[in-house]
Amino acid sequence: MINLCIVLLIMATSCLEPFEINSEEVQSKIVIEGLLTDQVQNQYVKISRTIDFNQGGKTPSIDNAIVKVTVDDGSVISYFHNPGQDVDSSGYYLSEIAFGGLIGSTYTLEVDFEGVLYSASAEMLPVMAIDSLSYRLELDPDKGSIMDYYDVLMYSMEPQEREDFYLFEFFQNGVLLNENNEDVFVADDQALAEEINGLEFPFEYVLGDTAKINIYSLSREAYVFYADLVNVLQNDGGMFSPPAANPRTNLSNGALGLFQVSAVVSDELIIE
Amino acid sequence: MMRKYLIFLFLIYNSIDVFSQVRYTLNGYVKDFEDGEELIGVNITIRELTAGTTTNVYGFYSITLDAGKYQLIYSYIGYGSKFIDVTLDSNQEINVNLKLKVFNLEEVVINADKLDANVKETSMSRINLDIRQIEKLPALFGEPDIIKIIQMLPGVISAGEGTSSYYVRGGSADQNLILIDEAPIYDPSHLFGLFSVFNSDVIKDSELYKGGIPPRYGGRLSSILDIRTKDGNNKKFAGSAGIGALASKLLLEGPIRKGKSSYIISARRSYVDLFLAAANEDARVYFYDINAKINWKHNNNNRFFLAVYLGRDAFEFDNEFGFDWGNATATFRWNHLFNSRLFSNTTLIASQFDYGLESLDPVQGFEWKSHIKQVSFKQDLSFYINPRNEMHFGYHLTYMGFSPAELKPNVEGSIFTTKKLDLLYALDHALYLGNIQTLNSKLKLDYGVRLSIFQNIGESTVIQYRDPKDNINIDVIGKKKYKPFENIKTFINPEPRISMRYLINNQSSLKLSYNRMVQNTHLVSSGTVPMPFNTWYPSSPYLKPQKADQLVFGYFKNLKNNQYELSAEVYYKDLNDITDFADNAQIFFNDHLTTEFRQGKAWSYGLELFAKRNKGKLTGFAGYTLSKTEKKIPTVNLGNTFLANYDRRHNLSLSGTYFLNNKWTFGLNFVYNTGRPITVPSGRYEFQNYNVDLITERNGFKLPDFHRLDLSATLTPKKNIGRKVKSHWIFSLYNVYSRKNPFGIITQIKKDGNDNIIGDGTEKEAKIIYLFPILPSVSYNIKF
Repeated sequence: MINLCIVLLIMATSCLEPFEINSEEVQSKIVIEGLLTDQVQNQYVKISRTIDFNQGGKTPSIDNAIVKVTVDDGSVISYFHNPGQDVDSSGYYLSEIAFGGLIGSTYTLEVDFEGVLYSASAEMLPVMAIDSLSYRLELDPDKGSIMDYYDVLMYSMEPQEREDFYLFEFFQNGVLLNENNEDVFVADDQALAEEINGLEFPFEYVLGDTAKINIYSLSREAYVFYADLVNVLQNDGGMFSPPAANPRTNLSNGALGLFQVSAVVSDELIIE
Repeated sequence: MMRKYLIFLFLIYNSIDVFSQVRYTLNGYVKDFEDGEELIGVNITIRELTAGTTTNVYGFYSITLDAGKYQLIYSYIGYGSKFIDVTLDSNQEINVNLKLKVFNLEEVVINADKLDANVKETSMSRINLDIRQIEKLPALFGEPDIIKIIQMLPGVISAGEGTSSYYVRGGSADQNLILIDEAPIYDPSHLFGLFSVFNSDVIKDSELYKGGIPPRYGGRLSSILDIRTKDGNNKKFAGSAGIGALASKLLLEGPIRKGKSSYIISARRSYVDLFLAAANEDARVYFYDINAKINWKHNNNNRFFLAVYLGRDAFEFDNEFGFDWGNATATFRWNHLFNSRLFSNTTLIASQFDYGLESLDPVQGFEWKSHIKQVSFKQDLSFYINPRNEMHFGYHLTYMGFSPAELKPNVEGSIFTTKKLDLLYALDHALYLGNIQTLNSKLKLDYGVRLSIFQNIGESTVIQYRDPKDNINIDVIGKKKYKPFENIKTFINPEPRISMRYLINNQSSLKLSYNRMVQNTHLVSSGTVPMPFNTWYPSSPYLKPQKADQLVFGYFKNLKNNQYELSAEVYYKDLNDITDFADNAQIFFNDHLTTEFRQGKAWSYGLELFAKRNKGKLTGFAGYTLSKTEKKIPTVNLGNTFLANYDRRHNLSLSGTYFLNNKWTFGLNFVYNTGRPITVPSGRYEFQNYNVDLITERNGFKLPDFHRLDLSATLTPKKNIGRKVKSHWIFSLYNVYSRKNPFGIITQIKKDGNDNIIGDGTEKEAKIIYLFPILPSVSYNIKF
């Protein structure tokens, strides 16, 4: 909301001008991105490094770490680097077996790289169920019928007895929607009513589209990470937004990124 | 500590002379002959004694002398002096009217203060601004704004262009107490700070204290801006009106009963809506201000006024989303003379700041509200002991209520539920005692102490945490409920204040002051510029009072019969337990906001040079500040020291008007300061599809320097002479050489001019946001 105001203020008269940041060389840091869901599949962990701000291209991947996940029942699952030898999958570690996490279980990730151990633990929490999806035609009176579009709505019951955190993903014909890759759709249920009666997708659809939603349950730490991620992605240099800072993470030893353990629900519909 | 107070009492004791001779008191009010406005700071000199006094902020003076014959001289800048012979054989009341001098080229005077106050008064780090002068200076969109001029003064830093926030000597923006007729204004901004809430038409007098703050003021660490509005013409009906680029205003004033009572009402409204209408038909954006005051003089010993300020900003888009904020204040004051030497001021004040956000969406409809309210009672007394001692003392009591947030669904079937964060309450007491004492012809002291007693009271529930600073895994171990008005925690802090002046000669002096200030209201904001969508929080179990100690030393000199005022001041300010927030703090709608509080240290030091010309065709000021401000807050920036974002190494400003002839007056403003420290990324990394900035140091980078030149011309047409309605035009040119001054920095995926991503979308770039290019504006004003 605050960003909206700034945008409005600025739109009136202001402009943007390219600007060179001559940041000093800083030591590269390790970035760990792990996702473990309740879906039976080869779960992944991606390990890479930070690079200089002004440098383009993909960030360098780390392919010689030792990666494993320990379940709270004592079982250990090893991860192996890029078993498919796919060039684009450098830096990706896949679990040796396909498995799905169980709600209520706690998973601990350990990454051993150059003698330093980075670890994180997270419990898999339940996710709310999606009742149904629907769509409705939105008429834009200013632009005539050519510009009509469809809103997609979600119906659900959100359990109120527990504090829950969710991450949302929206798709259009199989493509993840995210403007400029700067939006993060997370919510805590503090302010949500029990009955979610037609939550609008934040994107517009047209006739024939397949609309899809994924909802991930998040631990509080993961929610905090994503909320912080918004702050750094949408920062204005600390004028109105808080000063940019690296997102807080569940990973130890100064690693960036997150080990996310989530139950997932998904639903889709075709607008016809 | 004890010792300090003993010395203090000793000083007062010594100052009360043994009455060896019969003495009588002379007192009265000094007013403007034309409109009956009471004049502040009129010099009253007793020719035989070369001693004297000045009128206080209510135009009142009192002086006690041995029986005898005296000649009194009443003098005030811009006004003709008056000489009165008295034979003092009883207590006497002498009320005086001074006439504004006939307009004379060489006599254009810009100072509302006493001519030699710069050298002779104990006060330092204090600036009195004349609103008549400000109106002739260039202004953004042609709207004269006192805050914009304050931002140019030495020791004061602006948050950036188009903001109404300012920073005084290393203090953050919430450390400034802003008063209108003694009522606090919690957010002085209109249109996110483009304008301030102060309509220049109704301002009578304004003073900024950066240091040497008298004991009657308290509650904020860094500065006091005391704005007093006009009382209204009590002799005849008058008014003024103005049409500007963004706002229009009207002022009416006149007597209710001639010479006894008067009213003044002034209103201002913007019409930004019309401009935005071109771009977006459904946007409704406006602000307004209303100032109203009634003044009545029951008799010479009892005077009353009631003043009201109301201001609001409202934004609404497509009938879907809106937000608004505003201040409302009311002041009722009773001036009473117990006797000719004891002047009393009883004041009742109410003040409120609130903001709201609203969405009218059928599914996501909600209404969000937050406010801070306070009611105060103030009893201030001045006791004019003798020509050498003036004692001021009083008691202030304030009841405060803080509502951090309240969320309600505003449509049936909204996904939101009603939720309210607990209200917080406080009682703030202050007792103060101070004395202004002339020790001898060289040395004058102003010393005293303010005792701040702040109580966080119920009704409230205080949550107990296993670790009150853990903002990730919040572990509540208990809750304690408090009944209404039940004491939760009390904070007692004495605040010693002392200023002294040593007169080197009639034209120059040395001054020294020490101040302790305590602040018990804390702004919940983590950006640089306080947004209107911020709320306040009282000192409470998880938030200690903020404290500041400031030491200032200065050299003051007037030249050419007080035509020029010069000063050089050095200060050191030590701030403790200043409130900040953890990195990535979640300050909106957080049940556990207290876990985000971080309190630490800040320190600031600097040199300020100031030169002012008060008389002549060319008047104005030049200021230069060299300063440094650093902070160290636990866990913020990994606990390392960092530069405050209001740190500016160099700061230079020039402001002046040139009176060419009766038709034309020209104005100029120039500011230069070192770039603002800012947090920028040092690297980047990938996470999922996000290309994320890597941050290594808070405020580790400096934006390019800021500088800007503005010009203005005021045209007073010749045909005004002899007319009842007098008009003038003000032409302004803002940012004359169209400098692209950086306002902020954003980072994004590298794009070309048409917003298309360049390359593979991995490369990032930084862009500076700048606000105003060259902006001409014109306003038309009339007076009748």
